[in-house]
This record gives sequence, C-alpha cells and structure tokens, in this order.
Amino acid sequence: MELIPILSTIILVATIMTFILAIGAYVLYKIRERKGQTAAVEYPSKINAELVTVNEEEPVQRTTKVTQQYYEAPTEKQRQVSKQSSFNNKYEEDLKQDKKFVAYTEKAIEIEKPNGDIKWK
Amino acid sequence: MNLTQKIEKKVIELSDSKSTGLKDKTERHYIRNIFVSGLISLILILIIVYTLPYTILSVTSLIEYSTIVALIIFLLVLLVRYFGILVMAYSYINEYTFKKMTNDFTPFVSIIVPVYNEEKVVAESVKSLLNLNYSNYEIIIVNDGSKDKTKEVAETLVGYQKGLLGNVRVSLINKPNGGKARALNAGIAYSKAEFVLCMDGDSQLSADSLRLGIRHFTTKEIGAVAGNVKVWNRGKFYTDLQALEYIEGLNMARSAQSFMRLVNIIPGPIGIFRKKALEDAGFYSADTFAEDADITLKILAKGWKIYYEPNAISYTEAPANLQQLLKQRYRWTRGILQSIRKHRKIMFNPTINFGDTFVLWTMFYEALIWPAMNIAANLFFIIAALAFGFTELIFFWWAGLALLDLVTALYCIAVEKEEVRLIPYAIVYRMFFILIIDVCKFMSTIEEFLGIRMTWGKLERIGTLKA
Repeated sequence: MELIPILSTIILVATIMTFILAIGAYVLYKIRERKGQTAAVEYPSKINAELVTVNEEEPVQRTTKVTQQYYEAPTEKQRQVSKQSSFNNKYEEDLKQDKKFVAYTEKAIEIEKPNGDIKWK
Repeated sequence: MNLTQKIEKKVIELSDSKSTGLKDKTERHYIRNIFVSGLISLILILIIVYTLPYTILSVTSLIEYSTIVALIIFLLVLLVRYFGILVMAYSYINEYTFKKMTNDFTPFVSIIVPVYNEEKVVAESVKSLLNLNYSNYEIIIVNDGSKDKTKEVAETLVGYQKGLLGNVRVSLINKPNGGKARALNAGIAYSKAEFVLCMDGDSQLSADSLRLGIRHFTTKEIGAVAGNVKVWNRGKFYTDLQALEYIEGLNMARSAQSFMRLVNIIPGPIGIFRKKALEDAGFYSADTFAEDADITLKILAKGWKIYYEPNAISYTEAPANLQQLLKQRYRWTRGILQSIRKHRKIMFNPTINFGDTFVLWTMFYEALIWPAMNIAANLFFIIAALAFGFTELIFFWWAGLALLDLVTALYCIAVEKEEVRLIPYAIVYRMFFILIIDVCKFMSTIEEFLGIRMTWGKLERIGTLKA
C-alpha cells in the first residue's frame, strides 16, 4: 500500500479531531467562565493606597571587618585651610608658652615671706 | 552583615488616569452592527445571484473557482508573510550582532512588579530581581488587592535587600483591586526614576536583562525596549508547543518589527520604558484587556520608536492545560481587537503616523484575517476529501506547511541557541496547535464583535519558577 494515502487519511482524521477538540474546549471554557462572572464595578477616580517602604537613607552596614583607610590627596582648599590652621596652632602654642613663662614668673613672686622677702617657688 | 532600617507605612492617594477613546457599547450598537453587516452580505449575495446568468459560470463552478482563487491568495499571502518576516528578522539579527553598543549607560531604574494572588511566586520573582547584573535600581511591588497571602509575603521583602552589586530598595504599594494597568500606573506614579521596567508578578528576569535593555535608550528617539519572553515550565506537551511558539512565532516577528523600530506589542513580562514616553502616551489604560498592546500603540502614535532586545529575557509560566491556554488566548485576542478599535482613527488615516497605521493593519491581519483564512483552508480540504474524495490534497497542504515551519523552527532555534528537542514539535504545530488557537481567536473575534461581556480571568499558577 502506498504511503501518501495512509498519511493523508491520518492527517484528515487528525484535522477533523482537532476541529472538534477546539470547538468543544472553547464551549467548555465558556460554560466554566460563565459560572464565575461577576458584575463590573465602577472604579473611583481617586483611591487611597498603603505604601510600605524604608527610610530614604541607605542602611548602616555593621561589620567586624577592619576597613582599609586609603590616602586621598588634599584639595587646594583643604591645603589652604590646613596651612591656616597649622599657623594658628603654632601661634596658640607660642602664646601658651609665653603665658606659662609669665605665669611662672608672676606667680613666683606672689608668695611672700612673712618678713617681706620674696620667696621663690 | 546587619542592615539597620526602619520600615514605614503611610497612606498615599492614587488618581486613576482617564481612559480615552473606547466607550462601552450599548445593546443598540450591537444590533446596528449585526444589521449593517447582514445587510451588506445580503446585497453581495443578491448581486452575485442576479449577475451570474450573464456570465459563463454556474453556481457550482463559481464555488469551485472562488475556493481555488482564495486558496492561491492564502498561499501567496502566507509565503510573502513568512519570507518577509524571515528576511527582516535576519537583517535585524545581523544589525544587532555587529552594532557597537555602550554598556556604560546605567541610569536609575524602577522595576514595577504588579501582583494579584501571587503568593506562590512573588518571593522568587523578587529574588530574581536581586540577582540583576545592574547597580542602580529599586523594586516597587504593587499588590493589586490580592485575596491570598501575597500582601504578607510581599511585606517581608520590603526594605534594603542585598543585591548582586549593592543594596536594593524594595517598596510595596497595597491598593484595592483595579486591574494590571492601574497597578502599573500606581508604581510608575510612585517611581522617581527616568526609566521604568514593567513586568509580571509571576515572571523572572535573567541577570543581564536590565543592563542589556537599558543601553538602547542612549538613542534619544527610543521610547521603549521590548524584552524576550521564554517559557519556563517546559517538559509538557502544551508548554513545549508554547515554548516553540514563543521562539518561532512571537520572537521572530518581534525581531522583524524591531528592524523597522516598530515593535507592535511590548510583552507584559518584560518592557523597559522611558518615563517621558509613558507620560506622552498617557500611561496605561484600563479600558482594554491587552494593556501591553494598547500602551505600545499609544507610544508609537506619539512618534517614539520601540526596539527589541533578544538578550533581555523574562521567564514566564505558560498555561499547562488546554482550558488555561484558551483562557489566555481569548483575553489576548479580545484585548488586541479592543486596542485596534481604540486606535481605528490612525488605522484609516496614514497621514497621522504611517508607522502606527502599518502596525495596526498587521495586527488586524494577524488577529482577524489570518485565523479566518486558516480555518477556511482547513475546512476546504476536509470537504474536498469527504465530499469529493480528494484525500491527498490535505497531505500536500500539510507537508508544505510543515516543511516551512520546520525550516523556520530550525533557524529560530539556532539564532536563539535554544533546545533542539523543540524542533520536531513544528510538525504538529500548524495542524494541531495553530488550528486550536485560531478557532479560539475566531470565536473571540465574533464575541468581541457582538460585544459579549468578559472578565480578566486570572491564570492558575503552579509556582514552578525558582530563582
């Protein structure tokens, strides 16, 4: 027996069966869908919703790892500020030294002996 | 590593974007439609009956000749369609392969995940998003009034989560049920990003999807990028057939459309949008059942171009049985027809936007004309075999189409580096799968024409997706 007539018959039967299956499944689907149908609800123009979110800032990461501190070259502004502050520090240090000397000498003569002589501390 | 973070709950107000164009039809409209089409058909039949005696044709020969002419036209259209799509898809793949694209463009992106009764899959979906190979993004879950435990599951995901390249902020919006379009709009309204990625709550994205998709936005006229949807739950007869359909039918067509920068549907499971394009289009509308087709047509109508990124992959769970499959296709068909009806002004006036007019006509052809032609051709061969004994005709018809489908499947699977085992499904694809889908499309078209009311119809999820 030739192959083409056999294949033709198989395809013909398969096509008819597919048609029946497709229409049957569609009808069944419609029947099932009809059971669960509800009336359409009017949607309001404005509704309230609940927003669940986290703070804007990124969270703090707590870690036991020692973080590597990298050297960053200071900017021109930072350099100027640093220059100024080191000058100020030096000035304040000198002033402190002067005051210390003054205090030392002034306080030294504060204490007098009962007989009127100056007593060096 | 410990993350200290304070979760806040607050009430926000959402306003619904007004739908434009599509009005609910009244019963009078449907009766008028049926009456007008019936009258036109009657006039045509009368013209044929009255003019036939003046020709050399008899009624039987008229039926025979008209059927043969219709079949030849069908075959011609089918071949032109196939080769047109193949040539354009090939050109696109060539262009895509050799095009130099930047990977340095990393703007802040909001990923919107609308969920409705997705308790089984929402956690896995968000987990897949945390594995994205992209550093600058946030996740916004929009719970559209779920009736199951989706809200509770989603709340556990809120906060800064550890992503692949840093911490990712996850927020949740709980709103009353209003459909996917409104849920997406709520997420877009809350987002402060210039770009948004819209997806389905039951889909999962591949790690590179966002990085590869976003780079096309360096071209200023690109308003949106469509991704590549793949079936995840393979291994069953229906899901394997759908896997092949997604590769051969949908993705190849999308590649061809992308060659013209006119992708006609940005798929729901993955679409990246420029927020400006969404604003121009008036955001998603809830007046159709195919909000993805509708937003695509609106974006195209505003003059934006749409590109397709084949490596931005979204894995989705396909319907595993016939009932669920019909439910999905019924909604798709009616939704697409509603979108076409909504934009009919552009369809009949190519001077407004020629690209959009072209897209609308191709959609009309695919949704309405093609299924009717396929059903008519199959019916013709059944009648020819049963009534006239031309049994062999159906074999040659099937063999020709199956060969065409096999070659196309081979090409598409090679291009996408997909599973070779899917190729043999091409043999039963047209005779079995496409016929079932086309019958569903045809019936849905009639129902849409008659204006029979429909509901969204949520697909049942098994929850097979694992990140």
